[in-house]
Amino acid sequence: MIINCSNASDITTFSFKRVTKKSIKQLTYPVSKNNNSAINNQFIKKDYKDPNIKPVPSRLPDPVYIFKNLKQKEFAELVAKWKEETTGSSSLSKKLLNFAYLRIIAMGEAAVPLILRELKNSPDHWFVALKAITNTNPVSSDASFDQAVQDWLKWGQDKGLID
Amino acid sequence: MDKSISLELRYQTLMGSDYCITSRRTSTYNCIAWAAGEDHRPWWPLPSELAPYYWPEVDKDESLEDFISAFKTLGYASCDYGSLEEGYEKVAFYLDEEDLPSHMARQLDTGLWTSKCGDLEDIQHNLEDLEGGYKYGYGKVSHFMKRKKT
Repeated sequence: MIINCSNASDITTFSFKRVTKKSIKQLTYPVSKNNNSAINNQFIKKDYKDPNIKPVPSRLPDPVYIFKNLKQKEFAELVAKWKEETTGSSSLSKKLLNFAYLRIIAMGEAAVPLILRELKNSPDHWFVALKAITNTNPVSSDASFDQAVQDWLKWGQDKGLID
Repeated sequence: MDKSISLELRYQTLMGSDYCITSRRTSTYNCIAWAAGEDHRPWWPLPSELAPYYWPEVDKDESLEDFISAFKTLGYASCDYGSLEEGYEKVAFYLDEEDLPSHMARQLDTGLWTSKCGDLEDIQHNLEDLEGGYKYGYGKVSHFMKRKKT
């Protein structure tokens, strides 16, 4: 936001120029030195069309984008730690009780789309985490590993959580 | 014969041994399933509602006794040695420092053994190739079972 100030004989004018990615808006707010309320209560709004001034993109990312990015980063770090610590282990108890795996479950529903994407790209032991977070189980009791992957991906697609 | 640096870093006794890789990496099955002859789902004594994880018996825990009991349902009986016996197939149990089953291997007709290493590859190896301490092996080979070949 850019603020300009100009003085006339009776009126001081404050101009607020709001620059967004798509347009430049200018609000002019006149303040009467004689406390003329008719003047003080009006805003003069006009589009700023100067072609020589290019819009300046905001440097602050969307807060939702920041939140999603932080969750993705946290998730990726936990997945890497979990795989490093348990990939060589034959014990499924050790895999499913690993602290990084439990931290992923503790991320709650925010982790579900991330887990589903990970399951799609690199099938792994995500069934218990998904069941624990969502309290549902789309996998039949005699399913193979590959069938369980497909069942969870279909569930995620039906819920609109994954493409 | 193919070898893997990542396998050797995890199981350091593989370094310098004659093991070889016989499959791609996958999480589809684990060493217990592979020892039992399956390659489409992992075996482990977890609650039965946690499919695709499978165990032949219900309400079992991770003790050696319950692993032996599970393999008895497949026709195996305990035996003293892992040496090759004509007409029999054998499985070996590795126990960790807490005397809990950490790994299983199945004997091949050559007398060598085949193992699925966690979520990594299958390998052919000698039994001692996968022994070792925490992080660098599956502990000690502590029990054998055998059944007649069909």
